[in-house]
Amino acid sequence: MSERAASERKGGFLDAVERFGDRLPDPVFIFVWLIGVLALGSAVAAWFGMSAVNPITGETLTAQSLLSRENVQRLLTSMPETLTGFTPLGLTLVIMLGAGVAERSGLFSAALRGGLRNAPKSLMTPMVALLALVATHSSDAAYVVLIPLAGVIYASVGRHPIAGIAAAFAGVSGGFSANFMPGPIDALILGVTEPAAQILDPAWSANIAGNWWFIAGMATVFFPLIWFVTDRIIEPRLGEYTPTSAVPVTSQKADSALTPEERKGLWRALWAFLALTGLWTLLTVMPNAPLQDFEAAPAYRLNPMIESLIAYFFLLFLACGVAFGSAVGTVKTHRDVVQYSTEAMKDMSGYIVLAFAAAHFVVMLNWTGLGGILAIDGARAIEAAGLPAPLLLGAMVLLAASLNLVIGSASAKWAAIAPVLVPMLMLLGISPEMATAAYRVGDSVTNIITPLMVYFPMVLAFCRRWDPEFGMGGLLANMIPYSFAFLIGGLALTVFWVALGLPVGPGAGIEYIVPEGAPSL
Amino acid sequence: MSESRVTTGESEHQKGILGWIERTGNRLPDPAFIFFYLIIFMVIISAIASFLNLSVPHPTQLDESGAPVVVNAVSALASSSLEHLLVEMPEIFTGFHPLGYVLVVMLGAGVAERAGLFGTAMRAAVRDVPLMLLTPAVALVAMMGNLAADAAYVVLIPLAGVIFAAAGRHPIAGITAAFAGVSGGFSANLLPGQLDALLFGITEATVLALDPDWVMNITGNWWFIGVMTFIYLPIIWYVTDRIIEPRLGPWTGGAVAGAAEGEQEEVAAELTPGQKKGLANAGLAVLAVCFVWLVMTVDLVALVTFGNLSMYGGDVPLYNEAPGLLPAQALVPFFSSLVAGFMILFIFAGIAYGKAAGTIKDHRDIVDMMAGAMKDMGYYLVLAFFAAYFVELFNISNLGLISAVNGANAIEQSGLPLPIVLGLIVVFAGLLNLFVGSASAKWALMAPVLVPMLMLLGVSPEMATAAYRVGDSATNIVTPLMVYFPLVLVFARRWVPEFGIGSLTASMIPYSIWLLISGVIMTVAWVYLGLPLGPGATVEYTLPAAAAVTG
Repeated sequence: MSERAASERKGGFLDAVERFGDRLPDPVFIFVWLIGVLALGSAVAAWFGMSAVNPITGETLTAQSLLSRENVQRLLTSMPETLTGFTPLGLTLVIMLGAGVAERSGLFSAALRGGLRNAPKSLMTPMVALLALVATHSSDAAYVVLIPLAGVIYASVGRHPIAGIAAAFAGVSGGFSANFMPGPIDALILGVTEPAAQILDPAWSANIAGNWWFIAGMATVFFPLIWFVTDRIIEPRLGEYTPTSAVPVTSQKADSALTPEERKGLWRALWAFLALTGLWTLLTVMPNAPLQDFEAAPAYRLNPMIESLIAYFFLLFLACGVAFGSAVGTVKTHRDVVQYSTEAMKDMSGYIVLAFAAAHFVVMLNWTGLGGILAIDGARAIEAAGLPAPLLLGAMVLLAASLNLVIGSASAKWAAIAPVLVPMLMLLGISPEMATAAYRVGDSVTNIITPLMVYFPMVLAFCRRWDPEFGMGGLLANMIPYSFAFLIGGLALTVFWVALGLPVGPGAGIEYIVPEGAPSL
Repeated sequence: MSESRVTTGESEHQKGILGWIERTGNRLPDPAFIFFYLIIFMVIISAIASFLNLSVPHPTQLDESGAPVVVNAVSALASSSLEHLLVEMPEIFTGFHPLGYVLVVMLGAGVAERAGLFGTAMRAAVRDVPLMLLTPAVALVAMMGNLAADAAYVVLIPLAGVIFAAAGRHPIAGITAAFAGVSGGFSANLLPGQLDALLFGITEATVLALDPDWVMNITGNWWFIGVMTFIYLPIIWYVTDRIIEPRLGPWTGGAVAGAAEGEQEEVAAELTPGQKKGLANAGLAVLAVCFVWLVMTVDLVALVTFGNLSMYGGDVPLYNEAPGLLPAQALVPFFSSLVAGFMILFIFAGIAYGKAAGTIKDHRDIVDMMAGAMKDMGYYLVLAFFAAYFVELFNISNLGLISAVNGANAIEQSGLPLPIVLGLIVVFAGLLNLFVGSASAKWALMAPVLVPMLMLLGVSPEMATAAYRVGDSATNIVTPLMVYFPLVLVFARRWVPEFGIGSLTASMIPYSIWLLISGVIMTVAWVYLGLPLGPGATVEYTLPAAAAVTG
């Protein structure tokens, strides 16, 4: 932040967070220090022989020291694989290879000016929020496509691009589980619930729609929250956006009309879009289609298509960018395409360094086994507290939310908690679906305020493209209001849902009747 | 990339072979797009091959009945191939072996280079040598300078001109000697570095179809490139002092070139006390990192205390204690850790230098330097994406294996002795290098067929890589398509403004020819004698015993 901006700061809580966060070391070194702390912590935990028993497999999880022979060897021999195996890295780089062409050929700017010139500015936030909530189905693609795009959209209507990024990030990640339709995430999470429920009731089987009404309720609650927080809290905080010379994206003023070449380019891009979308539809529905998994259960059948969306968006951006650029004159030869992609990769240089540090932290946390132990112990503590059902579920939301600050993966965390909590709640008469739903609220809301979430560094990199001075503290301070609002809204939703006894999905009540002769825990 | 730094010289297009090379090369598409067209070509070829039912028996795998597994050509348009290519796009990209190796090494080398360590070390190494030894000193430092890739071109080549002029010798001779060392001796070095990581990564990707247990070892060519350095050194010395300098005639221009006096002064200036201290600190950091690696590989604690105390219960992290392993096998964890080792070495040496020299003030400088190094990799990432798809197509179509088996059979029948085959590979790589500059792009083109083919003929992947590297180096200095060629021309013109592209090429041709000839002889002799190429890397290779595949 510049000197002038710093002196204008007010003394509020968020500003304190931002100042504190910005005084922290560079994010890369935060991860380096965290790894140091983790190494010491794991050595201590291993020394004391910390362990927990997984109720399903009966396996004992023992804390592993990062200084052990095995882990030192693993760290030093697999460093390149740790970097390239960091999932967000590959996704981000692939999408940016394509998006760089679309952006630099001028397609984004022209399309947004064409599409949004007459759109009322005030509807921008609800539109982005809604898209972000729904787009979670394509989980990874939503992060790498929608979040940077939201920044461009806001900039092109003259609003602060970081407000757009924050709104999209809140919708995609803070509303990770909120949606109007069940999707792959439901399949994943309820798939973890199943073996946990079967400890008590071997006949229980997961139903992918088991949380449908609840997640729709969540989306309905979160949607106005994003709108309100973005327009009333975040944007006033950020103030007027004045583009600096360092901004890579040339966003022309929103009110400049399209030139005839740009119109022609947009038509060409539309044809490219239709051709590619048609191709993808064909690859998905044709007989023996490559993008369908015919051997899988119906709920998982389209998984290959969903996973191929990264490739789809890459090719889409590339093809549309080239089509547009060929009309406008920004893409004359293939060398322009290579150059635009190269520039996009250069923009990602800071992110690669950050990804190197973050990737090591994430895998090293896995090696210690501390995440699983923490989750099982936390679940045991809730079990021991003996609260009434609505409060119990509220406590579960809080447990998931706080665990989420350290353990990113939704399914890994659930796999550790579910075997303890799901059977316990079943014995108290609460259905596995409701238990899952409560977990998902907590798992979503804190995604956006933990630097350990794998996509957090990426979102930071996207913000820095607009404001090179924007730090980790700035992003945290912007996301805390969302997270807080979501947590309150989600807690209230869960407690009321249980108190009112509403169904969580078609055929899934909140109550559960223990079958005769179930094994006691 | 730095192609566009120089626009002059365009009008001086030459006739003859070099002019032809330049014209043809400029008409070729960008390397990334060469791969793109090759990908389309591979899709078509694989569809045809699969339609024709091309197949070979797998050289090492047996099915349940004991007969060799039949490897069929697979079309890239088959449903399963398409699913793989579209669903796993990010994994195919990041799974491209050299990518991870190079990014990790560059994260470290970026700090050492940007802190100024490489530049100062080169200056310190060349400054205070006796006149007579000036040429060999420049050549040696130039070959070592490859560890710093770009820094060697940008720092050492102009510096050599200044030093030669200061000694009253012709500055252009210094420039050509340094250029020959940096670029013509591109692979020659006394230490393995990022280039080894890059090339071996590609080699590894192509080996796995035949031998899934093969482990990449960044030092797999160490002895070979070390010897290459000692062979190239007298050649550059001789060519510079006996051929180039007499041609150029005596130098009358004085010690300072006209154009860039300020810069020249800076290059020729004494080392500041901070820089001297920095170099000493960097030396200590190097020793410290080497010591840590030593401790992790050899149980020093047990050695010193005669076995009374030991680290990790005598089981050190980077040495595999399992009984019955050859030393080379037991050291596999050590070899695999060297990528991380070089990164850490460069980072610590860079920080130690930068703190003293004042180039690194706080940790944010380090992060910026790393980010700067990644920025330099921007074009490489684009190229790697397309190269990764090309190699992946080769692998899933099985065409690499099929052509390797057939090619190996053909060579066996032709009765060519192996040393000659490798000599021919050197020449072929040298010719291809005239048109396709990038070392990794070219190797990604050649390796999928060459490496498995030579493995079938009993030649190790390390030897195949070494032969390729000889050819890839020698002709760098005569192709106008090499990205640094125009830059060197600019450096030369500072001293002699009328020095043209033709003059530079003419000066470099003697080096190139001699380097190529000696490289071929060295490769042939090496294979003939069967010398080891590096720690744990031999010329010979035995396919793993045929093993039954289950399922």
